[in-house]
Amino acid sequence: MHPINQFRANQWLVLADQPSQPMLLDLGMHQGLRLRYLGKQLGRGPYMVQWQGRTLAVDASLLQDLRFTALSNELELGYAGR
Amino acid sequence: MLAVDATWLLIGAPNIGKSVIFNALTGRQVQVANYAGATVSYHQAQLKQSAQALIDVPGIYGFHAANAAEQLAVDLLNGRLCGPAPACCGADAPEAQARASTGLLMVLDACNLAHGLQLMAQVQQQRPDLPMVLAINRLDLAQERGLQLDLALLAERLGKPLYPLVANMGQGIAELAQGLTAAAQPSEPRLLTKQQQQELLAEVQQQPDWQLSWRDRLGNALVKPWPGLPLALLVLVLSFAWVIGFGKAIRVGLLLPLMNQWLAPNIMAFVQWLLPQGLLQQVLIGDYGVLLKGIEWPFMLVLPYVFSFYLLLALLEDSGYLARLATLTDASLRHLGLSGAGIIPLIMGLGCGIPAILASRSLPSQKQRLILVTLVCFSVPCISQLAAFMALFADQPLGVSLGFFALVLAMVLLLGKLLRAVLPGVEQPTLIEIPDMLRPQFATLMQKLWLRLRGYLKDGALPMLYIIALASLIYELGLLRHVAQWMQPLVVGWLRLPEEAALPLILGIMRRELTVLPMLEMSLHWVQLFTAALVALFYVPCIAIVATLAREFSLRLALAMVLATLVFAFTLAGLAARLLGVFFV
Repeated sequence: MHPINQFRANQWLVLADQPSQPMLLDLGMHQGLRLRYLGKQLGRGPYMVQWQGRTLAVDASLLQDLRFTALSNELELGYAGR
Repeated sequence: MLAVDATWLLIGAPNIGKSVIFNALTGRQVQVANYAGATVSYHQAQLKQSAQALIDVPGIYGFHAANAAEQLAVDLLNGRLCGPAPACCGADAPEAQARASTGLLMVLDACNLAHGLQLMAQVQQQRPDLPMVLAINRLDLAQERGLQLDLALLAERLGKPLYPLVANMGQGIAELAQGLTAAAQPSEPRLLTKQQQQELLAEVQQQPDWQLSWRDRLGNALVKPWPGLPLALLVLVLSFAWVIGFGKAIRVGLLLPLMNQWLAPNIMAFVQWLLPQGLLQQVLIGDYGVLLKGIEWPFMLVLPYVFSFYLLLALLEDSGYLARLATLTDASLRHLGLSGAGIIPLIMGLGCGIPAILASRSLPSQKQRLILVTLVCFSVPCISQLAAFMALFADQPLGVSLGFFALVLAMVLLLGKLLRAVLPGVEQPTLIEIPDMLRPQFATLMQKLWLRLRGYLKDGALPMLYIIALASLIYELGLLRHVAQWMQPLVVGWLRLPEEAALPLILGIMRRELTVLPMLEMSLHWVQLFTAALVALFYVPCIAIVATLAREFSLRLALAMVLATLVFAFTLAGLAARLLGVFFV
């Protein structure tokens, strides 16, 4: 399964619990949403991801949220695929 | 060419130097900082040597606003917000009348061109009627990362002149200013599809041998629990040591001797020579003499701490550390109903409550904003008040001040948990952008320090001076006796403080630290000092904060905050006086 689909299938925590590779685990491209796992934070703390070249600390819940996808500008203004 | 009085809207992603460009083009000095969300309102000013105006707005990622500050930028861009600013997002510029934009100054980030192009396409699609001038900033950082950009080709493909900038060094600003003046009416915008953007990026951008710099490695390390947490603890200890140590050294070693041995005797001698004995002389140099306490309290006691705190804050802001601290503290702040991003306004609240309340606009929900402003109003002392506490506890055993600050921390935790439980609203998930670690520029640090010190002198020291004059008059006219009698059941009966403590309680309504400073002139037992400090900490916010709350939220909320703080402060302090009195008096 493609890593991003693993994430979408709520298997993100499996990836997050890989302490041997805490950095630069590339989750690939999916609809312009490029995530790069940079290491899980404290207990229930946020995850570090890269999106559009920016490093973000985000909750796992937000990663699965439509809103985050909207932040990638894909759903706005009917812009996708123009 | 555009009209000579054109108004440009400065638009771009957060934290790419838009406010630095605004300052350089207009000569204004708005606050800049190295974290996303530093700008929470709009600023409008005229360009240097031009009748054109420029409006600086909060950065946006897209047209999907995630908080009140981003919504303000989107509204201004869409032309939905012109004229006076609404109460929820008022501009803090003196000329709070947003002019309708007649042009867009779009700033791209040289380190993240992909997102810039995408945002630009959206903006063009949204406002095809407005001419757009393009600038690309942070070229120094891009070069440091080994990014090779073909700017000439990029400008050609985008069909517009592109002004290269290193804004914090002032490079390219003059050319950009000329470009704005000479900008032409809009032509049909050249909209790039997603595919075209990616092809363009492949053409104009190359990064052959990118390696993490030491700052990147430091930045990555600081955001992880190990070694981030121990380092955060170290930063905290060093910060306290710097603020308290430097402030106290300047106060005790330099300013107080200067005041007591030279300034005060000379002022007293001069006034006694100039004026006959009487009311006016007493108001000037009596027990609460405005020429003595009006200099000693705001300038000799408080100013050294204000200086050391704001210098530290500027350093932390510009280095990019605050957002990393926000990430580390996210899990802890969740218990208080806040996300990690709340740590930045809370730290700002240690300087002054007003910027903290304004900065809360960058929080994603009304519930988080309410929790944050309540914590700031109740239990986060501003630096003036902290300085007053330092002076109050200076001659007491260390345990007294430690016990006091432990109680403060406990109250913050309890209050946060309580508010999280009772306030309605959904908790928003965390989304914090982690900026690059940067080496702070000396000139920018000094500019920020001066801006904030000027703010303290204007909004802190000057009102303090007026209030001390009022206090001196009340004292010398003998009105204090009547006030003290009226407040005796509360002050003496409940709080177990001397009668004259009624005066600071009245003055504290106007400036919080004045609840503490007059206590220095009274001979109090440490239990009384502790009680007085508790009242002062949880007492009503300053008048300026109440006004800000009314403007940002509602008058009802502001009045509720005043009532709640009053009841809480007197209840807690009275109980503490009784409890401590049993064991220690």
